[in-house]
Amino acid sequence: MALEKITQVTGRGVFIPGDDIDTDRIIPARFMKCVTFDGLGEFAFADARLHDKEAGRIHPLDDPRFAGATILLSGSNFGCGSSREHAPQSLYRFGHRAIIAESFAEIFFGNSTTLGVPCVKLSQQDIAGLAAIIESDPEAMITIDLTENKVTVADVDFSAEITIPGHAREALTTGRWDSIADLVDGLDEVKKRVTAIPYLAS
Amino acid sequence: MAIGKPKVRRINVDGKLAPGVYAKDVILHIIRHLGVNGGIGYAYEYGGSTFDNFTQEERMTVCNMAIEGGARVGYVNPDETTFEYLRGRPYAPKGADWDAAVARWKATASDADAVYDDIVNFKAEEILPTVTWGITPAQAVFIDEAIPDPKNLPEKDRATAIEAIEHMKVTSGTPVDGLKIDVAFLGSCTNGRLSDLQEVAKHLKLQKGRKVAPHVKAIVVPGSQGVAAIAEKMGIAEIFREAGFEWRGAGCSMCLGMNPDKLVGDQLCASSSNRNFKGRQGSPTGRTMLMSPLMVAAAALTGTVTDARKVFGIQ
Ligand code: SF4
Repeated sequence: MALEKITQVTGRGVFIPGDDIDTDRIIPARFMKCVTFDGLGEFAFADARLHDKEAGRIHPLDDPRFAGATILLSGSNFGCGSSREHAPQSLYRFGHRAIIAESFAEIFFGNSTTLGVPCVKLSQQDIAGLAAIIESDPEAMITIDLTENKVTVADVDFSAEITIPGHAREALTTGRWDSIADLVDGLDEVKKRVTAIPYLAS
Repeated sequence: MAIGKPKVRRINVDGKLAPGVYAKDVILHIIRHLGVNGGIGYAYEYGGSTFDNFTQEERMTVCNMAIEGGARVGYVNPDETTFEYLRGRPYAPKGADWDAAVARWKATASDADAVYDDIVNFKAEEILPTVTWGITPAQAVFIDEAIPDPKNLPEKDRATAIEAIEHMKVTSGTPVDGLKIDVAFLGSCTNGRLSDLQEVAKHLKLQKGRKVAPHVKAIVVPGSQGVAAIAEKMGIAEIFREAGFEWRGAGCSMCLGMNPDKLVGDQLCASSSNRNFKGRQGSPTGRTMLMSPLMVAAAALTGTVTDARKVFGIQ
């Protein structure tokens, strides 16, 4: 199945600071009683946003300056905890098309990749640099380039090298990021493999 | 494919755990030291004499929480303990199929001279009953320790520690022993197994007549309907009920608060589950402290987080 080849993501950024942001924070469990993922977007970071509102602060996702941002920035171990696919789904439906962080929790990383949302790593300094740029100019256009391996910002002297595991880069840039579609495509090979695995063959 | 081959970290725990110290304490201790992101890019292979001597269910408790340590998978090499656990279970192969399966499983075990990407060693004797005090499973201390001061933590851990202290409504320097709880939850995929319920019931029985503290809501949720049925039959359910615990239907329950079992407001819950994230147990301001099942029971009886070894006279 031919999917979009994702080689570049360009858009405005929004920074949610913090390390170890878990998937319960990204989408609290009580919003998961849905049959489809539609409508999950509005509940992204629901409790954190409400908490900020009650405390008289504005959560970055509610800050009008960053409305419509498509690139999410955060700290290390982003997406840890519960494996819920609802987490990347809610961010995707909120409008995020790529995530930049110091590091990612594995399952979240995999779930995002299979949605066609690149998760790329930058150093702490580079993330701080990018965050400063979007804080002073929320309209700054960030480009993540998966073939050139870098992040740049239009009209700003900023360029940093990203890290993304080879298998994920390949999957995204060749349009093979939906692993279920990949399995369906390779059904003959899958069947052959099944006969070689004793506990599946019998 | 979207999945790459992980590196392997061998985590050895050697020696004998002291009485009243459990598999849950082992994994909380491991995560405390390796961090909730330490396992990123790794599979965790647990081994050493402590794991060799563990029952299969104890191994499962530790493997279950590899995710909390950041690893995508955690395993203990299959051995006779594993095979004995599987033999005769529903869906286990039988007869010649069984022998073939065991041979196959044995072939998957790591060789003695296997090379690892990383090796970490722990001593069982150094592990004490452990509880989490914060909002990640790595924010854990022994029961005789106090809430840490973020100033004394490595720089990378400070911001999360400050956030945790605010959320948990605790102060640095306060001993964890003595923190007042509102709810006790015994269950989850980490610690809702038959052996967990048996171990706690054994100690409760010796405390004849002792009941859950009046201000505490204590619930026991077996990990599966199979476990629930056996526990009923063995009289375990009755021991819990008599001690004032609610004996509930099997499931995830208050581990994640998707059914009506939820914390209310900023209730503090002593929980045998595996996740203490903000809002995890159904209330955005709810507070969770992770610990072993027996520590949960001790907290339920006394109404405070406390050393189960003292409550149950374990030496
Ligand atoms: S919700 Fe909790 S008990 Fe249920 S599977 Fe997830 S971690 Fe385990």
